Amino acid sequence: MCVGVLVDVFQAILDKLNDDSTLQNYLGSEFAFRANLVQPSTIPSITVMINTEKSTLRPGSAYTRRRDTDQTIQVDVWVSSADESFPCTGEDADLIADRIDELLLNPASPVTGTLAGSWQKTSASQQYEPETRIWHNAARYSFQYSMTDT
Amino acid sequence: MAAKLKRISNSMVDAVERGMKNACKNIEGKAKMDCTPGKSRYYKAPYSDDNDPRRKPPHMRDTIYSEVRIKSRGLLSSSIQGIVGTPKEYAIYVHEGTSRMQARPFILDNIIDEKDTTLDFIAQSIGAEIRKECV
Repeated sequence: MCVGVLVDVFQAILDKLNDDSTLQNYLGSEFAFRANLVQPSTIPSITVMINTEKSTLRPGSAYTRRRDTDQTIQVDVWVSSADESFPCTGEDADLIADRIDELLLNPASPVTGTLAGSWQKTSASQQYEPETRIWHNAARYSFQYSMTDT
Repeated sequence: MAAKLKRISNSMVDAVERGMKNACKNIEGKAKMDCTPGKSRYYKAPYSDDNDPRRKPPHMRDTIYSEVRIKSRGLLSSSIQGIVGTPKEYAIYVHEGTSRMQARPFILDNIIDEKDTTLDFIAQSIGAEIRKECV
């Protein structure tokens, strides 16, 4: 069994996004959520989901019980073009995505519980859903954190 | 010795290309598996019935392809890219997800998971090329 650091790390990512004043100006308050299998609960919003995870035991882990984990997450920005005010365009979604980059990829201020300098952006794309009139930016980030087995 | 080193350096791009081809085929195979019901890591494999009138066969799994592109062949400035993709228009929505459907990144997840294997394929290919000159 492992200590549930991931829960803390995941919450730290959501807190980092929710606490940012620039994103609050763009999206109001409490706009970043864990993604569910169904559609986002509110729009505009940001959802975060786990993609892949790979743990490696450290040498001497029989005694230290330490392991390093490589984690990939997907961060989605959802903006509706049915809205008349900001954010409502693809450019607006890009602006929000750029701010998320600045927050998560800043080596001087890493997300609590993650290794400084380990954050990397692995992919980014933008799609428009004509049926729902939603702009969707999807970006993936990889990072590392270490944890102690119990 | 100098001639051998020159031959090795000239053949390196071809060696990396061979290794990259194998690595891309590996990722292509894993991506196809992730689009196969019963073998996919995802809750619902992105697979559509060929009889579904809304989908024109072949379905996405059978269109996944891989290729290697060499942009330059300089000794210190070679650029070799491995590509894995599918021409299906709806693939991006399956891969990245939509507001009504969870993302199933069947290509990117495998690129990340197979990173070590990819490096092994390329290293093996380079090693084989060097051994050819050393025997």
